[in-house]
Amino acid sequence: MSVRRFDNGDADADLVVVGSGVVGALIAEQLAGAQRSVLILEAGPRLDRAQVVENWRNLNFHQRVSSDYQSLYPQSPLATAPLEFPPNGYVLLTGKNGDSFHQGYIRAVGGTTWHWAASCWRHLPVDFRMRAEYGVGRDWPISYSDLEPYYCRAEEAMGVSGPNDPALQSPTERSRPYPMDMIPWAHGDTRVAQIVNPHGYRSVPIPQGRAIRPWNNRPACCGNNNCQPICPIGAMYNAIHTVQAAEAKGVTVLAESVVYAIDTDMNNRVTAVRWYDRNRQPHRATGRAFVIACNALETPRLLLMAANAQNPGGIANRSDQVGRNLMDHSGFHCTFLASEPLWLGRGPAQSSCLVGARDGAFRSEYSANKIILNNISRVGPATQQALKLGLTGTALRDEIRRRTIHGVDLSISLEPLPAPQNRLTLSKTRRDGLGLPCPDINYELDDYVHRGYDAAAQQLRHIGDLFNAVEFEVTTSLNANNHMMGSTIMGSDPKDSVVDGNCRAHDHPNLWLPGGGPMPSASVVNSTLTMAALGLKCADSVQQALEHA
Amino acid sequence: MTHTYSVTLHRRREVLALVPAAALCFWLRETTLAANPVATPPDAFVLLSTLLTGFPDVYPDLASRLREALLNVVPATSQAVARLIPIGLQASDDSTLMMTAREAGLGEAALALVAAWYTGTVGSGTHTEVVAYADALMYRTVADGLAPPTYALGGPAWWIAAPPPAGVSPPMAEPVRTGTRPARRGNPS
Repeated sequence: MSVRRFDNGDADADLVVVGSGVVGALIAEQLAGAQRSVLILEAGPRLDRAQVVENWRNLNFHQRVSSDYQSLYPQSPLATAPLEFPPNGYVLLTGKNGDSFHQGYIRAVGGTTWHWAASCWRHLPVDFRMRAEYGVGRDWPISYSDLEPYYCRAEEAMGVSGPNDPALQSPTERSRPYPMDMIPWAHGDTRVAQIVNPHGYRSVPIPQGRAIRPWNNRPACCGNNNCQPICPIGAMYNAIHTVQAAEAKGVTVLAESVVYAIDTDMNNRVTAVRWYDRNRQPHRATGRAFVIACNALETPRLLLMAANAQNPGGIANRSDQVGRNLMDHSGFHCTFLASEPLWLGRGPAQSSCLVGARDGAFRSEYSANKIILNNISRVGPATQQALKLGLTGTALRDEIRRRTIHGVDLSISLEPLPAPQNRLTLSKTRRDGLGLPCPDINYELDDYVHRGYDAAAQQLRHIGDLFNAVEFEVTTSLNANNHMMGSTIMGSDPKDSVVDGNCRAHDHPNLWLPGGGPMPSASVVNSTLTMAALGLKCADSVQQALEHA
Repeated sequence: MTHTYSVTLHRRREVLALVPAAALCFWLRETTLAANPVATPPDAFVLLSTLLTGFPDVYPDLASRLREALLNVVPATSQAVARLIPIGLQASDDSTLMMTAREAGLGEAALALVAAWYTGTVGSGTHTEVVAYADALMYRTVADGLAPPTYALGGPAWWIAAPPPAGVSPPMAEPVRTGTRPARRGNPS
């Protein structure tokens, strides 16, 4: 079924999806496969992979070594995304831990999976029952077993390689094997696991959205070690693969189309969304079902700015929870030089992770953690450090080599709990290129996270000892991980939540808000696979609703 | 990465010998008085670079780009580098070169030149020019075991092979300490 386009640029479809990231794209593809007309409205531009690779290679050394994963991606001047080099001030951060919430996300066709690391973790079953099990946080209205079939479908859709040996799985509760077995480890992953595993840290393979053989029109991974910020060969899953598959099934994708308003009828059903095209001309897309899957910042921003007479506090916001309960895995890093060469940087950017502290009774008191062994080449940081020593000649050559092959960077994630005061609101003073309000975010972490930091820091010191670490350092303030969650929180009670277990808005029977926003608990693992699984569950719900309409 | 031209250290004196004394005097006077890097004979700049970087075969085309970028982006450093060249011609190795350079107030310029060669970026802050990516010398320090990111050392799963020998001594032991680095920006996972 094709989207109807009118002479004035307006459109009509069975399903209108706002956002072309992994979640929106998966839903669009499924519904197109079910013979529904589907329109995707994407605020940002289309990207050319080769150009983005060139942009990365031409960023200056300081930006590359500082992990500037944003500047290489072209932006529409009408749909700003955060930039830090230099800061563009699109998002205003306040609150005690505002500085730990500098999120980097992409507004373009295909979304932020252009620069993810493709880590495809599942939540643990207990992560869905944090209140019931540990007396903290919130419980989900659905269980792990409700979502498990969708995890399987998401792994299939994204072409995940993961460990099929249960001893290496986290969690082990699976109804199907991974589509492909684990990505084989390089020397560094193997040695680190050999050294830390006798001490209970449980280094396991990271399930990854890439493979060492061609898969579903993707080439095999050749270990270009540049998953972030851009896989140069398209071996890593990103949503552009699904967007292209969806387009092949008839989905219409309109880039540089910024949705700014949502129309509702007397029954509070959504009747249309309104968007500006690249020439700032307004248009309207009518439909039977609507999915807003921008991300956990842009979705609540849109819902709030789309407030209308019937929904004065914002669309889907009778609970006043839209924009609240914002979460991200609070991150920090541990770096050191190991006494033996580990040669990190051979293969994909992340292949192993320490999950020994992912769960335990302690979670009633403080945050769990996971410790990723970053496998990103250490040449850049090693060079930065060696140059600071003022070396020249062969001494400099040797020092860079020494620091590169002995260097270790561990990326630690902590679990915040949902808190209503961690909130996105609309700026009263700052406007984007279309004159739409920019997001303001207040963010404060409680002692649950800080105690989790202390526990993790102690574990890291022990790990450092195991490697006879030199120049052992732990960052003392927290960084963002771009895993935004919670801002359209899921629950069974419409009074204190925004969506139900299918990500359908409590307030609007034909509006779904899937992605990271609905997640009531963060766990400590990357959120994308859970977002994708929720997206596919949402897709079933949309499909059933359209069939019964 | 195939370089068809190289100046090796053992050729250095040979090249020096080929520079006529009068021309050398003229060039030294010009570079000293006018501090005009464009007037620097290319071989002399390459020779200075080989001494400072420890790579006897730096890429001449890159040397030209780098020298031009120095002039465009950091003209003061460019002038200082021009003054380094006669020092480089007299020095037997990078240590003596640096000692003399520091005495002449040119130590920072020498290190800036080294940083440009190793990182491929000239300048700092927002005022920079990228002259090299894969050819930045930092990648050559580990080229036997790591490709510059975006490139690869082989086909699928090449990385499971054993890495090459270290070839350098391990890091010097020191007491374990907890640093106070600020948080990073970016680095999503």
